[in-house]
Amino acid sequence: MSDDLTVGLRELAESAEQLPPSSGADVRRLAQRRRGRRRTIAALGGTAAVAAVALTLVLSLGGSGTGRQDMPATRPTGTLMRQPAPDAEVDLSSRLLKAGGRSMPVSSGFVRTPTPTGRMTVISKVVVTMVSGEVVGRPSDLRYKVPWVIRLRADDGRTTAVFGFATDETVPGVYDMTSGWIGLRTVDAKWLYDRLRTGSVVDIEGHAPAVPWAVPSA
Amino acid sequence: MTEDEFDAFYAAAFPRLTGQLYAFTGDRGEAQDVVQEAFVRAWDRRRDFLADGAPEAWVRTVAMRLAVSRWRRARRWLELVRRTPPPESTPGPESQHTHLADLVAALRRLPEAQRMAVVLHHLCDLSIEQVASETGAPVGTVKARLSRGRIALQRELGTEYAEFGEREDDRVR
Repeated sequence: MSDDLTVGLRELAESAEQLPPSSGADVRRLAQRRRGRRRTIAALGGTAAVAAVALTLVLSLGGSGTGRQDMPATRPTGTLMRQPAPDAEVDLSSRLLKAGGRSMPVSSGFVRTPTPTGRMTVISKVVVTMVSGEVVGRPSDLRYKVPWVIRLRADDGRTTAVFGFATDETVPGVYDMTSGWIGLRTVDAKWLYDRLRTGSVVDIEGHAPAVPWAVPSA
Repeated sequence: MTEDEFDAFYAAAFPRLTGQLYAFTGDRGEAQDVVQEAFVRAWDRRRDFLADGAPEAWVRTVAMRLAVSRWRRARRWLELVRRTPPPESTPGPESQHTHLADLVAALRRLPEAQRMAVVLHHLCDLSIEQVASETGAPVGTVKARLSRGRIALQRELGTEYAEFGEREDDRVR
């Protein structure tokens, strides 16, 4: 390995090595949970298909009179597919994150960089990480350390993260100024970090208010 | 592979793989995400993963493919919401270490396919045939990508890395 390019690349890679954010057991648990979810969906799909075939047969056999065949609503399928309750909920409109009976102010994505919404799963956690200044509403050529980072991903691949807004504790609940991540006061971020595990579910709803400050209720 | 063996493999390989993926993606968070996801898939599909005989290479291949597909998906989405599309390829590493800044800047300008070939061959120590196998490209294409990548890097970096096209072991053409 006398090659200079190899040496340079190795130095670059070594400078960026990271410790695992969770244990191997957490990784295995997440894989098993996903497999279980796939099996459940497949079973429900199979049941729904059988029910649909049976229904079609009943209608085609019994409907020879008037020719009118009113289709029943598909409510049973919807009931079967009901999603479990989330471990935390974020309402971007009111700038609040709720978990375990606690309500915490947040700062989300700036208008041009909105926070993705929908159901997210915790994919990893890291105590502290370096981010571009854009994440905390500062110039992108600067880098900042942020604590208690909880990375989230939706089924369609969109990602965001919850973190401790250590650079300015007065921002959560007042301004939306991140690049799409969800900033909490550091003490709240640590509390949530300790509470959520890899695989926990977080629902994100609403959109950041058009005005940069919270509107007091009448 | 038992649960304990998998846990030990995860703890040992994760740092190395995040470093390699960083050289390819240029984003530490993204590198961590795709490597973590690749390990989840490895346990989920451990029959394929173990049948391959090279578990670390299996995880790296999955992580690189995830990085590429995530970037392309993000790019399509950005094209929909913006008039000005982002660059054609993944952005590459950011400059964070002064002494590596030139190499980092040059890597950023390489097309995605060339960067992947360079990283796999020069950093991950894969032979040209192995790079071809991992990327699904013919051997001749991999050679061309490596050659163009090295020429581009050499042009960017001048004398500092002047000898990097002249490796003496038999893996380099």
